[in-house]
Amino acid sequence: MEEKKNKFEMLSAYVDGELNEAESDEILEMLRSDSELRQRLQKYSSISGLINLDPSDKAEASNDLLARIFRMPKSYVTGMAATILIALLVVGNNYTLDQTNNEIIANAASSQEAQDHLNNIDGALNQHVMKILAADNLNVDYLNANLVPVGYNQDPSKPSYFSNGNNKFRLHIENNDFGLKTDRYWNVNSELVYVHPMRNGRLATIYGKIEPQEAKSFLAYIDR
Amino acid sequence: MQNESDKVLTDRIQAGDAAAFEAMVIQYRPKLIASLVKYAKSVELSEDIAQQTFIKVWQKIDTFRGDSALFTWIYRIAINLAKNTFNSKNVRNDGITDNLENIESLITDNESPEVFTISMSLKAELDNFLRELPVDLKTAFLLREDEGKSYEQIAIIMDCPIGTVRSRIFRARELILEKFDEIN
Repeated sequence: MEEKKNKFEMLSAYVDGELNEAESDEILEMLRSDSELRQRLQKYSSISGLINLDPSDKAEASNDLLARIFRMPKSYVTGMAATILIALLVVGNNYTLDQTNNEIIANAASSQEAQDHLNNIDGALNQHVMKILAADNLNVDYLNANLVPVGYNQDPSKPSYFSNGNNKFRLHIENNDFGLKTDRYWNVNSELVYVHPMRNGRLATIYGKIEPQEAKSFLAYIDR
Repeated sequence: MQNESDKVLTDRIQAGDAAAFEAMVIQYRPKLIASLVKYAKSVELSEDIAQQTFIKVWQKIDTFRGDSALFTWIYRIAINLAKNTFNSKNVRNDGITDNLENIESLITDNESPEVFTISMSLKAELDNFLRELPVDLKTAFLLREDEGKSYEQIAIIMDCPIGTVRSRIFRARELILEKFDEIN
């Protein structure tokens, strides 16, 4: 009990930016594996959110707003993390293509089933996707130029960039160290991330403005 | 300037630590949404902008040099996204965009969005909780949350050790949570 209290007090100081480097490292390590601590972080942060509301929000200052700002998620999953993790979950469970929308994601995020699945989700793949989203230079060294589908242009100065008028995306190919057996895709805002395990043991990832079926066709072509 | 906690956090995120990124989202999302609500005039839109903001943060985190507080940097991204959103929705005439431009001009490297005043209506609800707090806890908590004072500054104001300040703020938070749990 005392240990938990000390842990929460340390977290409270972390929220206030009052921990030194070593203590901050310690808290972040604990947050990695301690869901109760993550929920506490959410609660402390929500109090700060309330404090930061503005007086002119009266029109919105309903119990609904209060509840939404102060909402306690069933898990630590929020924001972008929810988008990515839940979308992985949705596609991973063989939902149909048009189900990877925000409503499904939002519903899935709050379901117990989602929480259970998220506890088992492949963290390495999640990190891979987040790196793809952030990276400027992707790797297409494994791609044979002759295999670029007809109609697509490959940017000579940025070889990972492809376009054909309607679609514009980046391609990344690396070793499939994730053990991924089937295609997965999800939307990040209006863009698509599509991951495809290739027959040669590589993993191809598309990120950009393209429909899932088109991404699938493109990847099927280069995976011949 | 960023504090040590934010420096550790951003170092980890820049190194590709997704768990650290997640911790950042948990920590700053409520405050960001609360800050956006006034200008978006919609909780849903604020949540959408917040989500886009954190995607952008992940993509651009390598460009963060720590010259400003982390939340200030995040907030700037959110304001730019909000402006783009409002412009694309052709709502410029309702004054929202002007408000955003005014807001942006208020943010300096040393000044976070906490400069904005607190919602009187919602603050009333929070005040009900705060009123019941022992005065030492309430004072320490408000000096931190409301006025943005550091623990060291609060210790000087309240003439007590920094460890006591830390403990009082923690206990205030816990008591507020207990009250919220009661009404929920």
